[in-house]
Amino acid sequence: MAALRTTTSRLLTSPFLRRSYATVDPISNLGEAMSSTQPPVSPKHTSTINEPSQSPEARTKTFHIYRWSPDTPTQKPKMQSYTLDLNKTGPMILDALIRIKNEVDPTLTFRRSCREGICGSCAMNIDGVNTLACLCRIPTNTSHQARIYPLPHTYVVKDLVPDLTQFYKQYKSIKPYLQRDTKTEDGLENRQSPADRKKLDGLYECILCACCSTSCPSYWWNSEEYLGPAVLLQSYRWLADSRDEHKAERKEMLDNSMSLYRCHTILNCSRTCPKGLNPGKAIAEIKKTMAFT
Amino acid sequence: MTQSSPSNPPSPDSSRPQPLQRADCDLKSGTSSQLSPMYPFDALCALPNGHTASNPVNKHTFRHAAFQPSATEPHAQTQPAKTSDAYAILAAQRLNRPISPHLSIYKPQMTWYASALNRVTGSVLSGGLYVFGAAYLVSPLLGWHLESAAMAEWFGGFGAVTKGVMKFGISWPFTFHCWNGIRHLVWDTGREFGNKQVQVTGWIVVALSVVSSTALAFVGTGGGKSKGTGVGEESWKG
Repeated sequence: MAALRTTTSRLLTSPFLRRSYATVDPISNLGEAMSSTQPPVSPKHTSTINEPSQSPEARTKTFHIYRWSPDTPTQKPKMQSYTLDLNKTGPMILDALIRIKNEVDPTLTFRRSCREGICGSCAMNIDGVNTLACLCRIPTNTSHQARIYPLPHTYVVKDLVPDLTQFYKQYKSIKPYLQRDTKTEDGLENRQSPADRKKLDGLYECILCACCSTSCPSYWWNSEEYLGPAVLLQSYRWLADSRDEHKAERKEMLDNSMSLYRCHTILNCSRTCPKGLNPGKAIAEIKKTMAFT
Repeated sequence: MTQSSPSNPPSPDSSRPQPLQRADCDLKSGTSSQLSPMYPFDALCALPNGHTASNPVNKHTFRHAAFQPSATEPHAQTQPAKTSDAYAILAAQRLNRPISPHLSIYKPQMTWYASALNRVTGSVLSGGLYVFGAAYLVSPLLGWHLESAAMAEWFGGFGAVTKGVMKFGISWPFTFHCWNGIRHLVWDTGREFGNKQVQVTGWIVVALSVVSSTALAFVGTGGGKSKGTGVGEESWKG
């Protein structure tokens, strides 16, 4: 009997049965069950707001933009059409949005800050692909009509502003900072060879705009538990850092069916990254690390 | 503005830089409405100072500076919230928020379309196998004829083109899933992750699957009728 019990307790304490989860508390029962995705009202059924003054040589382009306001929560989201004269508009989608807000419709809501692709605020879905509005040129072909949506499968706060609370909580859960228990020889700096530093190239440049995570179908369906490409890229950034001493702990956090292994190598993430990074490859490297070391 | 340092006590005679300084820090005290040790200038502003109030600029400043928040004054409605309430607040907000469109608006690309096809073909193949296997198991009880000989006879009754199309319908999911499986195995080694390689290997898989499944579908159709010659009845019954 005693022997049996010891076996059981050993079994229970084995790492296989006692896995820690890097994923954060799911806001589970509230998710899909309560608020569902509503297709926005087609632009055919909404009015078009035109450029204030039309000039004869105008290059008029139409922008269809997703609108939803929390002030009227029962109203369905709709696509609002705007026309702009490209001669009076800057080259980027963000210029068009700012111009609409300044001159046509001040109620249009979106996030923006640096307008040069370093802050990641203006991430949105433009013509079906997630990217930063400030880095996305307006196609000069005026017969093509631009369609702008918030980042896919996110809770909409208003218009083009998504609720990224879960995304930031997940980022926090991977402990995105250097973890060390020992001091260096001189007690001053944590030094790194140029070769080790080179391993962080392509990882540290991530600005956490959430374009990749919200382009991932797997993240759409499992965002409560799957960490998503952006957060996993950051996770790998610390796994690949020669100065970090908590690699085993970091790997253990990912060693469950959801946090990491919901990645099915779909690679929408790498395809869409506005900074040209490769989250898909970083995840593959994590999987290799988990399997072979 | 920086002319009078905090060490210099403000005097009514050196009033030149003072109004500027006070008007400037008044903004700060107006928004925070609390005396903070972080901002010594706030304390300076909030102190009622008789002789500076005679100046018209300072009179204006003084009115704001003397303002103290009180329960009787009408001001914007606020609700006290603790950090621990954040979850409940977020959950309540999410009840109203719509989820932005996803599948229906995302641009069709090799990446996710190939991945979806991989899963669909895998499900069809394994699901088909399970369904047929289960049907085969219960067929003696229900009197169905799913033995190979009966199946071959039934299939042999179709024309060559129908046979080819039907076989293609089964062989293409099989070949696509196989070739794409090889692509996944290559990815598992950490290779071919560039955007261009993903695109190229995707189209290679599509081309290879079409070619190989066509070949599989039309195997044997060229060499005359295969009906009855392949599987002998006795070998299965005996």
